[in-house]
Amino acid sequence: MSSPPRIPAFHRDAGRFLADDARVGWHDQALWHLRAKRDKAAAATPDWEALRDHAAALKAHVLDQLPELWTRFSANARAAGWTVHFAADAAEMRATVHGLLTAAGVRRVVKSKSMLSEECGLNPHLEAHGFEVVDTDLGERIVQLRHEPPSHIVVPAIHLKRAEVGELFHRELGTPAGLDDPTALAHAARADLRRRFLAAEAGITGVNIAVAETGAMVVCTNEGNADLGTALPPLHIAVVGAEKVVPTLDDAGVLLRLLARSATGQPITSYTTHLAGPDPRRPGHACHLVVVDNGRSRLAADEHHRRALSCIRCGACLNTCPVYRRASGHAYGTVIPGPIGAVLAPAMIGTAAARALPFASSLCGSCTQVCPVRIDLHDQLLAWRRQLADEGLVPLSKRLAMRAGAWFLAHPRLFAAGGWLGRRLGFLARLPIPGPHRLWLRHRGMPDLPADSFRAQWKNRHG
Amino acid sequence: MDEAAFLARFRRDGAPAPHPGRFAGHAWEASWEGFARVLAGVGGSLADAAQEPRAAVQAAIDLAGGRVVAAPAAGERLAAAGVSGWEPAGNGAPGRFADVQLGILWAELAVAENAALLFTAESLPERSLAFLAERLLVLVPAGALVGGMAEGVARAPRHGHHHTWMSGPSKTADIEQTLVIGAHGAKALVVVRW
Ligand code: SF4
Repeated sequence: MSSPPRIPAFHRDAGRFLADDARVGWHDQALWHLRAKRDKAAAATPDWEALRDHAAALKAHVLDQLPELWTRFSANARAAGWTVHFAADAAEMRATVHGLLTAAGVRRVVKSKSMLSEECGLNPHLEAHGFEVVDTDLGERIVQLRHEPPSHIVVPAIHLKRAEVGELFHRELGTPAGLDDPTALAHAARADLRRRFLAAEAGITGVNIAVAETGAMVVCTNEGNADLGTALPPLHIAVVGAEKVVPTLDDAGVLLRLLARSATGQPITSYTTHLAGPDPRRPGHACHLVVVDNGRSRLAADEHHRRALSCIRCGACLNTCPVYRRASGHAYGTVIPGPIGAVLAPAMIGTAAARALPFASSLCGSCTQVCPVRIDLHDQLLAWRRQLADEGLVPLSKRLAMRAGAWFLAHPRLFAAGGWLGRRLGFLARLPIPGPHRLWLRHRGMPDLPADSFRAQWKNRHG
Repeated sequence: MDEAAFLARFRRDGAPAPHPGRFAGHAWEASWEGFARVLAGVGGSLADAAQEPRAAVQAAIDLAGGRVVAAPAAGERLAAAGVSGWEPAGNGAPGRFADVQLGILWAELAVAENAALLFTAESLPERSLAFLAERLLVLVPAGALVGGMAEGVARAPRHGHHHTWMSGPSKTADIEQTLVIGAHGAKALVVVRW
């Protein structure tokens, strides 16, 4: 999605992360903890499944009505005082934001979390042109200071241990050496960022939901950073993906009931703010909204994969994914990692660049089970595999292995003989093997093999 | 790029999937016990109904240890009840609340399902107070509780510059998934039924 497209070197980067056993175990548990909190929140919401059905239907409607909804939105937004811009791609989005900041004579910018600005490479662009851009979400600030991308769409620094954050803050913010208490570290960042909020000349935010009925944007945070970033500086620029509009405020309410529960297990984010243009009480307050395509119209025209545009970026499919939890977000090499990232990437950056990602899945279907808007993620991944095969983008070794597998499975006697041999020689699979498949086996154990084949057991039981 | 050309990229033929209508979900009970339970879960607290609200607010102000500022809708009530030790929000640059120890706000609505409190351009004309104050005391009319968020959103304003739903104090779990209260906004939030 970002430009220029990187070829995801998934295997190499996942391997690098997997080399640190302790970190992998901890990362896995931290994400599973989020998944467990999501489950608890879902169980405490009696209308949960109906709510998901409703949200899925709402999003299907939205995807069919984007021009109508944005037309209605922009009329109401302009009446509220927003200046609405439309950007075809990342370059136009960057140029638009850059132009607005320059025209206003701004240098210091505070930013709240926006995956869209990551996707469009906004920070590096603005920094290269001399702007001071400070990410204010704590996790984003941490990865910004480390000069690395977020590894998760909701908890951007989930791949880091507290000691690493402590070291970073000691170096960058002057906290005492060895300080690694999360509360003390977070409050040190608060003090530093508070100063920057008060001095900022512009605030850039993402948008969780644009509401056509009111011409307003909704932004959700737990920290309150989007609120400070819009309540203090005289200029606000909001950037929004073309899929984020809904017809009414009630529709936004449906998504709000799902978003935080799916993301972190909270019943709603701490702050959910609805903003309709400039504040009439603040003289000179200016508000701009940039609606961005950057590949979304292409995806919207793809009948197989357009449902992926329903995503509300809750991160639940990342938290539950056994591959993501062990590979970490950076391995994907895309702005959005995990199952949804692997579904979006081939459409956004092209099948050749993203060819490894649809295979970064066990197809267990856990992502589909948790997705609040019922995107059929694992089916989508399978569909991409099929398309990659059709386009000849599957490596020869895999193609040969698949062909051999198909032949083997199509010959029952051979299959039975293979099973017989396997039950006797299965222990060999536990021996360390050389070559690239070594990594694959590193965090997997071969289960104990039964004494008899399934067919023999069936015969015994049912005659 | 031009709006019409942009929107043309998303145009589709054929009948669109229908809008699913209003969501008629679970009928949440509008109970303060439920609200208090959820609020405690998100790091806030509800003042005991047995305590007289005026006395609860005065005690909080006396203990504030610094500047106390009330948003207009809250200030009116405090003045009428003879509560002292606070200053009105007044007018000026939005950053003028940076050293406020206690902000006192008036919420129009409370939601039992998710402990969300509604602030609008009328009750909170100047948003920055709610996010710069170290701690928040929120007054909410005892009759302004609804059960579910759907009902809450249905009552939220369709006009006016802004409204915010606030559920507990500011928080983050960005360092090792450890919950820290007070990431940027308020470090504590107490709700008093008025
Ligand atoms: S695909 Fe579904 S589960 Fe994954 S982030 Fe998007 S909305 Fe959440």
